[in-house]
Amino acid sequence: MSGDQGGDSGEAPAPDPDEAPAQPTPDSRRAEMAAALRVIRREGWKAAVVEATVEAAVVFLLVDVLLSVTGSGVSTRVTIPLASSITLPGSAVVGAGAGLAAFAVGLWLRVRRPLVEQFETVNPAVAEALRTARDAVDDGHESRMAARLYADVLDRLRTTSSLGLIRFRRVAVMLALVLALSVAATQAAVYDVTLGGDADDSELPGDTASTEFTGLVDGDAVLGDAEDVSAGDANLTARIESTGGDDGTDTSGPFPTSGGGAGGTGEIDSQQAGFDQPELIEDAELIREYNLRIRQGSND
Amino acid sequence: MSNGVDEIQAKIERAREEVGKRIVGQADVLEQLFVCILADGNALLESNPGLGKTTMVRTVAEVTDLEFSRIQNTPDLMPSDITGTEIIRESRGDREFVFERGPVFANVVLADEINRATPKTQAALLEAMQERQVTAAGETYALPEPFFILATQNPIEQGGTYELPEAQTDRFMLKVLVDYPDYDAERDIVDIYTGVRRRVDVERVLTRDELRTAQELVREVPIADDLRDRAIQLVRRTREADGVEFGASPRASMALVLTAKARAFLQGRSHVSGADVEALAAPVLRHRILLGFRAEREGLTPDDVIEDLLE
Repeated sequence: MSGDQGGDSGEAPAPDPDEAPAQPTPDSRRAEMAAALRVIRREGWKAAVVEATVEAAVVFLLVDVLLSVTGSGVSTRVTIPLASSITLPGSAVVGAGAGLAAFAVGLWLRVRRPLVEQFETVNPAVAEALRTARDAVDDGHESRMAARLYADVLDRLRTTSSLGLIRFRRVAVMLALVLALSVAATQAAVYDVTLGGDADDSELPGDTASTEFTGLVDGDAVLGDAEDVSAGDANLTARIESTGGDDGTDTSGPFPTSGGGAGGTGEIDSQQAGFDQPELIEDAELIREYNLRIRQGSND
Repeated sequence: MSNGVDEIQAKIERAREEVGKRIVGQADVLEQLFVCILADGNALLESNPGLGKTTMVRTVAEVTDLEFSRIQNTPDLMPSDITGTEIIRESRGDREFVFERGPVFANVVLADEINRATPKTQAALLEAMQERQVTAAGETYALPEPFFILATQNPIEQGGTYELPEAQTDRFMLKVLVDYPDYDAERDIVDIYTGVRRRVDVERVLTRDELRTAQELVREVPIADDLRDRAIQLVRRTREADGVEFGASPRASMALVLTAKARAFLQGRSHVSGADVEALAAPVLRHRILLGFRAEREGLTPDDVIEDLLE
């Protein structure tokens, strides 16, 4: 945050004395003061834009995350009219609109108060002189005392700074919020894609059946259509250790699944991992019952 | 240009120091007196006797190279005793009427105990103060420039006095209250004036032309719009304040802004600050406010009302 004449240190603007005429007239002093006031106002605009931008980013991300999580009717994707190849999630479009509105309101709130007065607030040492000089410039004063005031203010502006126009603590908090909300938005997007929390994009064959156990059903309806084992993308060997039987039945064999081969020490977990998600406990119970009956049948 | 301003400001500061050699412990009064002179106004000094008012005014005239005269007001003082009168003068056998100028024809006029003069005489003096000219026998005579009347009045011993009407007190830019000095200052006064040296010499450091230039510069001092508005609002509020029967006139608004500029100039600044307005609110307004009966019965003074308004 620095003025054109202030450098990176954020020093307040003031004309270079080397460039000033040797014998400045009241008129030239007034012009210099007017130029300095323009720079001060520009610094005020910069500070306002920075803060409003950060706040707008927070609003954008907040709206996007909330709509993504709640799925409040914005799950549809929106095609950008000017670039039909680009489609955006509805939550992102609504968030962008809210962010733009927040930016406009935030900017208006900040520039509503005169920018020179905001500069005076953060540089109280020069406040009264600067405000008087501002009014004198606006009124066109070019008297001897006005010229002296301009020279005095221009000199004192060298010791002032426009950095105070930015509330760094507020900006830091906002940036932290942006970071947190960005992570949340990414998580929401990943969840949407990989886990497919909503049934819309993740329906599998046979999933239409009720998960509540209502007795024995057809195995194909539960396990899906028969697949060619040789066409599978992975062959898993599951070893089931049984503590109840000792008939030497070879239960090893390939399972038509693409799931991870998370093996467990229990008798049932390995088969369960091969067919379906472990959290679907109803299916596990069903499979367990099938296994028990098969085992009883083989024992018989 | 700036150097010229700095030089004049330095000389005025020097003049204050010179007066301070004789007048000890009255820094605020001296400041207000110089403010009044720089603002080209007239001041009403109110104090008990023996506080050095006459010495103060005389010393100010000395250090600023101004002609000084003193008028001791009494009930039998006539207007012509102040303004002057036409007398018959004989020269080479001829007789002619010649205007003999009165004591008002000076740069600094000390009107001691002005409330002891009759209303007619007061009016003559105040007319001269306002118009900066005197009319006698159909002729108009301009008073010298610069011209100040510094009038004094005693707050006690009101018997046989003629209180100045509000319309006339309004013409005094400031009413300065001269209070007793503190112990250390009074001890210094005793040491200075009871030693071997009967008189403290002061140096003339400011010419009349420089004083006139300083007065012009004071009027050029910029004031921020909000401060000017604050001064005006303060004066306007005196007309609506509780306990005030009559408030200050627009002349008070002008006086407040101008004296604030003068104080800023006196302190070496190029702009008026809020402290200038606050410091001069009471001297500018206290003699322009007429309290109601109830406020007076409650012991309120104009300064109390002004202080409330400033808050």
